[in-house]
Amino acid sequence: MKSASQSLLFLVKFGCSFYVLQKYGVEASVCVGPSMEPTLNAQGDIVIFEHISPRWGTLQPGDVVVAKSPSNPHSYICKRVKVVGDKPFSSRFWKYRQRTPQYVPRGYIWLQGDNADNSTDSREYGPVPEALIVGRVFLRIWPMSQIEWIGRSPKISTN
Amino acid sequence: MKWLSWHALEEVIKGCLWSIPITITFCDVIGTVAKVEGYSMSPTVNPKAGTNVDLVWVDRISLLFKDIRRGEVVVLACPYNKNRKLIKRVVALEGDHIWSRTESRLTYIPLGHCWVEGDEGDKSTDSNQLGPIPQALIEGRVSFIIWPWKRWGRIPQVPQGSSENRLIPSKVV
Repeated sequence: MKSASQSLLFLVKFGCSFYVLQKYGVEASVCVGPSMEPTLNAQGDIVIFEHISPRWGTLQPGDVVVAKSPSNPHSYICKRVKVVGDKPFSSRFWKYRQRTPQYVPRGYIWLQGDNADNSTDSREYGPVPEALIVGRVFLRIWPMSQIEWIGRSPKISTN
Repeated sequence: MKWLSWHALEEVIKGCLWSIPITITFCDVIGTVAKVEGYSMSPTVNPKAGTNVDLVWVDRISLLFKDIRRGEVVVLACPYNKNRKLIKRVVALEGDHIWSRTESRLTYIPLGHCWVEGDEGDKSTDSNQLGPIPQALIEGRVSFIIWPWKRWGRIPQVPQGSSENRLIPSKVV
């Protein structure tokens, strides 16, 4: 029979290990909202993302990322990287809602949803600091019928 | 070597390994001690240039249940360099208007953003150069000075900061 303090210690050990695995390794999350259609469904897909690429700064245009929302510190967004700041040939981007050329500086990332008509993204709030990027989505595990790797090229809408 | 049995050694190594995730979790969730470099927050932190490096307590857990208020000192990730941390005072919150310190331009703070400034106006890289900053960049409250002992104690929340006549609040909090 284990004593109470022993099982508490066990709980702390494994709780903390799980936390570290989640925050520094891979994490699962539900993505709700129409902005990434047709790559992700609006009803709420469960995706797996890793924290390593943003930490090492190896994100590339096309990657689907989870980021803290610049317009709400309590929520997260899931978008596709369009431009990584201050790389050759990609540093200027047309911000078409304001009709002015938008410069993506070093350390910032331009995010856009695949569903351009129904997405609040960098076109609205400008380039996003890299520090807000939490992880790179690489796998969808729910719904069951649509388990697949998430790559750098957006899905083409079929309808 | 009778006092050092293999079993005891194994226990020690196990303990050391387990302490790694526990320490990381503690630092990430509850808080850490941090060293402050630079003088942008003098005279509150690092008052005299060149003489001292203050240690402060960065409180992270309170972010989970208490929203940021005007006048609090916070640690945030530098917007243009994710590996750098800044320590600044929150001067204005979403919905407020503020006159920037350098040029007389009235800025509106958009949703989810805030305006941060160093207490030492001129030596500070802050919202006066960078503009409004996403609140999501904030990683913790700087609540306590731990070292040097002479200035040990809670860091006061100065709701107005140095911005008394530049801030037009949207609502009084």
